[in-house]
Amino acid sequence: MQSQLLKKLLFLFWGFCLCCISQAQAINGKVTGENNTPLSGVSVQLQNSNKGTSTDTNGEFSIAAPQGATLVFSFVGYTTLEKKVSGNYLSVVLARGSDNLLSDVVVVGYGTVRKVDLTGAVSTVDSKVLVNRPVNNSLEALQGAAPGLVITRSSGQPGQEGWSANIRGFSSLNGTNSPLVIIDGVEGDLALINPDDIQSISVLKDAAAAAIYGAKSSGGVIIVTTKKGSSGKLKLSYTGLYSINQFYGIPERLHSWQEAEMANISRENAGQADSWSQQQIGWMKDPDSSFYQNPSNPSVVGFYYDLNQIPIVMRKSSPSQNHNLSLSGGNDKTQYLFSMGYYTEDGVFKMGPDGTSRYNARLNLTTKFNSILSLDSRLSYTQSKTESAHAAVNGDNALLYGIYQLRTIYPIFLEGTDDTKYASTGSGPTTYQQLIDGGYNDIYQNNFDGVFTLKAANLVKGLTFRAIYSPHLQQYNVNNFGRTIPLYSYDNTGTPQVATYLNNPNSIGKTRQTVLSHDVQLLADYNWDIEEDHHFHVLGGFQYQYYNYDNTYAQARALISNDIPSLNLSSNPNVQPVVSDDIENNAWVSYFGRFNYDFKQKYLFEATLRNDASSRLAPGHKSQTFPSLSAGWVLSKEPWFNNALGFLDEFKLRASWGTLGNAQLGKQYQHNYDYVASLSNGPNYPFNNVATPSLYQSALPSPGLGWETIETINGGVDLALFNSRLQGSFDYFQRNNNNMLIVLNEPAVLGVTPSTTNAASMKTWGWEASLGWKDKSGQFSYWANFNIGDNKNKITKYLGNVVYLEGINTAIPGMPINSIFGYKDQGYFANADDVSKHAFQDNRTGPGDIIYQDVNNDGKVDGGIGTAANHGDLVYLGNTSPRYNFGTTIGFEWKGFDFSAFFQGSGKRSIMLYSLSVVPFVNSWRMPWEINTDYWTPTNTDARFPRLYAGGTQNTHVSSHWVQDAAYIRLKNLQIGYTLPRLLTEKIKISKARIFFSGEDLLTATKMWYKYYDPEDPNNVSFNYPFSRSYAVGLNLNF
Amino acid sequence: MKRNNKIYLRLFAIIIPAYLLSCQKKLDQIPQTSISDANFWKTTNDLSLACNYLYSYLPGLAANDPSGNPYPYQDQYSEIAYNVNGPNAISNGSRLAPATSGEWSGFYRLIRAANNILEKSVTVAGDQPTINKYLGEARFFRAWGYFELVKRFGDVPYIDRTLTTSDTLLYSSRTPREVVIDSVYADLDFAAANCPMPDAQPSAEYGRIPSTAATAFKSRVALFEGTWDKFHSEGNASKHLQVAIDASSTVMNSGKHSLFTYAAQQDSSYYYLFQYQNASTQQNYTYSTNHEIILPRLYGQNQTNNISSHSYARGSVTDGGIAATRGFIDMYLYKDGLPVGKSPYDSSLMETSTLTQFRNRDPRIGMTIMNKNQWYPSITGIHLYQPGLIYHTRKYGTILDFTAGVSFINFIVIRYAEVLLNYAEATFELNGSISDGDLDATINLLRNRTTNNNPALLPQLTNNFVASNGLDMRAQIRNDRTVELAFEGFHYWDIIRWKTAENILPNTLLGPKYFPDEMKNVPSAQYDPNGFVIVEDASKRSFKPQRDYLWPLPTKELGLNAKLTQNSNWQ
Repeated sequence: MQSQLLKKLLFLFWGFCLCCISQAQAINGKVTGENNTPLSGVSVQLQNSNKGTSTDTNGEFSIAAPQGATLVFSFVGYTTLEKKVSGNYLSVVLARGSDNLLSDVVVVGYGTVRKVDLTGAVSTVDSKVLVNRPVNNSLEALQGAAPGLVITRSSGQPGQEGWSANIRGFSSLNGTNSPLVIIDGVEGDLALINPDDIQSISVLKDAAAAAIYGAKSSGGVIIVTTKKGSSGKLKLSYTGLYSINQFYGIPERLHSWQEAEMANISRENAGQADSWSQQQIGWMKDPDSSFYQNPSNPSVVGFYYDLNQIPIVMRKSSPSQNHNLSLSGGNDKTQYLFSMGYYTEDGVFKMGPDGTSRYNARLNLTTKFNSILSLDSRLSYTQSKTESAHAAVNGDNALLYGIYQLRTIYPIFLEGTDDTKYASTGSGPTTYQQLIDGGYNDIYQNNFDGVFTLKAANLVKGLTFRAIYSPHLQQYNVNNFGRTIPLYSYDNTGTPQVATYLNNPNSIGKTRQTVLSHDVQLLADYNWDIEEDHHFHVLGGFQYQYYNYDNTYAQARALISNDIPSLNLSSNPNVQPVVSDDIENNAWVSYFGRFNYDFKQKYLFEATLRNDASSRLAPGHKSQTFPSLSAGWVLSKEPWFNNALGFLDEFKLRASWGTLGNAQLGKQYQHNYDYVASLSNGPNYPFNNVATPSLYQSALPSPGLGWETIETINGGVDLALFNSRLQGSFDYFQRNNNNMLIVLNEPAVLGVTPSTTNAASMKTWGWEASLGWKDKSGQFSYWANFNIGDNKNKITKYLGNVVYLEGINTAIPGMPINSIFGYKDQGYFANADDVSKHAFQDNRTGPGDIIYQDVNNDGKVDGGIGTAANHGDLVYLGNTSPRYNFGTTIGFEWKGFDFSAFFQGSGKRSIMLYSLSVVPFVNSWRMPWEINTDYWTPTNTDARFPRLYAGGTQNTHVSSHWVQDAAYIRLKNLQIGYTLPRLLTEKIKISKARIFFSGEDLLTATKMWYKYYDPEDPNNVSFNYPFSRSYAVGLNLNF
Repeated sequence: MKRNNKIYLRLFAIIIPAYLLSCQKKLDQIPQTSISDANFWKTTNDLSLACNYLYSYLPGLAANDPSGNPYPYQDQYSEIAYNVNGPNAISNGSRLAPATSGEWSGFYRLIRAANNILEKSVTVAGDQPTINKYLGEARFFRAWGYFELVKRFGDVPYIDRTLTTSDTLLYSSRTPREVVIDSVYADLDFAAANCPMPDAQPSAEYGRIPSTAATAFKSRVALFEGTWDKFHSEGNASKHLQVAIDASSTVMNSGKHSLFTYAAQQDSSYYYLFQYQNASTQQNYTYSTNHEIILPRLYGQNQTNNISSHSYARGSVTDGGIAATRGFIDMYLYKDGLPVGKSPYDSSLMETSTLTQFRNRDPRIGMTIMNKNQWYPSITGIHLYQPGLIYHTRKYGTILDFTAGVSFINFIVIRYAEVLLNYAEATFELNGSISDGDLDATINLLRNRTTNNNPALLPQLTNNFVASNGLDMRAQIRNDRTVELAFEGFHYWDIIRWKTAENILPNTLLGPKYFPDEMKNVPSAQYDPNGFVIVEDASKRSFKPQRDYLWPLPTKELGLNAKLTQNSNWQ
């Protein structure tokens, strides 16, 4: 039965095609613009087919099309025109001006608006920047894509890059300041969405634009809309990329004897005995005597290798792959889009678990039940797996630290065991061992998101109801297996025996975390016009969000088998399993309304009122109302303006004011019950060798915890010139958090962390500008875009005590957030006389140490008592917020070739280096790197680094010597593509085939001289996973 | 179609308000996986859980003490010990007033936790002696916190209730140490009266505060205050010295404690006191197997059941984190009971090999300091100890724990030997003399344990011996104390209260003597004219008597509280 139906369908389809072909005939025509000038290069497309051509230099074209078919004429800078074929010749006149951003439709909160009607500060991101790039998530692709939107990462570790977004800098001292991400109308996670599924991205920056999202939108809003199907025949497209990621910024190590010699110098400078004798150093140099064994007692051994383990453990490059497939189509009643994506990336380590992979699937389905009711369903599923070693990879005392900073005198394997037994070296790195044999830490994430929008349109004229239900289910599972590794030494007879173990006892820890949240929205829209000129729109809504986090952890230790990690297999009855759970709930209830009015689309006005209530706040402080207002004036629609400044195609002024609330003191699963006095678990104490629990009060409750109120004003201008080929916009904003929550600074005699109180204010202000040019000449079309944004912030009120400390100070009145305070570097002391003449710094201070300025001339260099009046010689050395963030794209297309280059960077940022890695020998085992060989000696006085000094913390103070300007410009993406001629590809039923090269992070210029830090590295980070540059080749196919 | 619309509208009108109400209720959330203060403090078990937290503040061999270091590291502040990784800023006088202090804030956290228990206990129902036992523990820890503060900072704000951010006590000035110490005594008396005697503690409760720990600790506090007052010419020395005598004699007369002897090797009892009861099973002593330990800081149990551990054997003992100075070696008496410079056995400047410096000496030297051909692990492998340019110490060091890098040996917070030494010193300082009977009941017990009752290895200390050899009794008592309690965190505080630090600390720190024939592969170093390694030259060391007997208050606290004043000359 079914197959018969299929046959009939196929027959019909074939028949239809035949009809089309048989009826097609050559249509000629000419396209002209204003003043009857012929337009060349205009695209002429037969609607609902892949047939098309373009006009020649005389503006003429010829295409085969049946009578009654529709031809679509499109050209940059002109309104796209559809025209039905009747007769053999068509004369087409294209009008200027509407193919530009200002008339694009922009997605805003709970609806869309033409860009020309916008009154708030909204940027849109071209979905072009998201695709065909060797990136593993959408956030990464958004870096530099919109002014005021700053994307940062914390590590290069695959799957654990820590990408985060920020709009217009800090809005609060609390929480992550991350923007609210709305995907298809509900809160979502940008890191989990396949970049290929994205149709459009809007960035809402001011209160007026974000206000309708209320409580969680104080950090701005990123609205993502996914692609959906359109009626028409099935479209199939495929994109694939294969990339090579090349790692950089890895420290260069020295030979073991160089380390030993420098160690001796460092100890002599500190007045201590040498660590190594000349004979021992000689053994290090001689590859034949790197292992010493006492013939009369074989258990006595010494290691004098010269083994840099970085090239043994880390590779220069690793591969990644990206595949995306989508199908879409539909009819009048139902449209669908189905997509699948796969991404996989390997990490820097040659061995062991290190990498990530992700699958995405999405089904967007729109069904119209009748003339009123329709249902839009968007289902997406993401599965990801990130593998890494059981032992921590990043940070001090972790795996990278081992091969970066520990001595190179040690072997991996015990001499004479044919590389079968690991050597017990005591202080050598165990990175290799841990990677190969130490187990794993695997993170599995499964996300299921659904958005169901039931819409009743025109229930009465102009009135539309929408009910949105969105469940979100996330399963976050971690399996952490610590496998025991034996390390060997020799016994008295010279036989290798186990001396000690790594990861002893072995253990399996399982985290099972379920996040179940749902979001219900009821919305009513009412539109009405009075005559032609007055347009009104009212939106009313209700939103309820509930978040439930349930985390269970179980760990079994001392497993029977070292190779079967199961909770069932704990062998030792005395070893208690570890179990714990954490349940966190929060609920949000909001009512909101928005009113829009415009007169002749010339004067625009919008008002929003929203009431939010959050379970996170204290009783009596849970609910608050937040208003906002905005207005726009499209001057270019005024006749007098046009007469005076006719070269401006579009010119609009915008202004807005609004308030927003913030109750996000941290992540969703944190700070849910801060107003409740509760007890924390203290360390277990081993009474009777049993892990005995303890409880204590770690922080005071916050009974008055209320909303932070963030007030924003914004003024902006949008313009278009030269027939809209040049477009630009500029915004200035100012934001005040008037009721900011802080943990008060109280004297330590309090004995507990003080409560959080609404007792501070901060101000953030800045500007954004963007400028774009696009044009076409014949078959050559090109574009250039530039965007830049800057913001500054200042703590304007801080009730309670203020403390100035060396290092990063979060909040000091009158200063920006995260201000670095330290000493002013004045070069190096040249001799003992210099030291005695200078203010007292430290008893160890000597020639070759950093001179710190005695700012207050009190004869000593110190931090005073940490008050505003007396913070000694500490001076402001900058703050950690990036300034002047910019992005710029240039590109062109010509005869099937396309090229684009995307630069991104930051104009200014202070970064504090990690004190234990700026100078060697702060601890005896912290070895120098190649960069450290440029140290001060009486004959090398303009060295990068101070003299070597064992335990030399007198030189690691926060000072201008170590605070670097991490300004940078980076060639973020370079793409060169070629679309094969259609004549060629049509033969194999491919409507478009493009091959391309896409390179990511290819070139960087930076002001930092400390070359083992990347300017994108976070502040004060230690031994971070290296970043990589990517070289990718890819393929786009449309069927 | 019109009719349909009306149905939709009516349906919405009913469903929506009902739904909105149910959502509103969800705004009231309570914690589900943590205990709120309001639901706690009901049973004695709750009190026990709260008291367990206080034990994490007991000093130990890991960085769990608010000082941020193993407790024995406090000997690095003095002239007897140093860290091979670098000089100590307290010992050499180079420290500056810090912005923050782990000790200052850490001990006040402990004090708050103790105050919280004392306050909240009023709602606890249960057996009153059991409640009082836990209150005794809380008051012991409050006393501990205040003594540790007073020792360092002198006068400190005395807080005896849990503060809120609006409490005026938050900005109080410093309370005179005399007042603070009187409260410490009161707390310890309460603890002594309400905590069980050690033999009455069930073995599962070994490690909790016994009555004798409170009393023994009181003798420590009182001796400190008595001698501080005496030598710094402050307060009421005899009052405190009498308290010290009373408290130490109470412990001595209780019959609950005695010096430990290791049955299998009695002449090495002193060494085995700081080892596991059973090295291969990593089993620690308990009250029944060791009466000398009055209060241990527990670690447990082993690598398989790792509840709490440290790496003292590795990082401190073997790697020279706590190395002895030549000055300390010179404190060991010769077997005739005479010191360096007096004894005919004195070979200090005539030593010909590393072994000669251990010869004919108080046997504690070999049980405290690593000697040639003992098994010894190091960063280049495990081997028989070849003396080099460091005097490695041995207390709490085991090879097993070195190779594993993790150790479970308990730290002895209070041991009976200290009580005996407290008694002897307090008696001498109060009366200006000490009877032979008192010496036999204290210092000579320690000497006998060391020599396994063989006076040929070290004779008894008597008034006659002192007189006939031209010695000074005070110096002898102090010397025995330093030697016995070395590398347990006492000596710096001793020279502070004796007011001798100003004479001792500014001198050059020396290490071992360099013997070229024995030490072939040792790196080059700087030596004094007698061939001893210079650990730190006198030119880099200083002690300002007007300043350094008290520690600087953290400057951040001075900024936060205008009523808080800095100690003299630290501005």
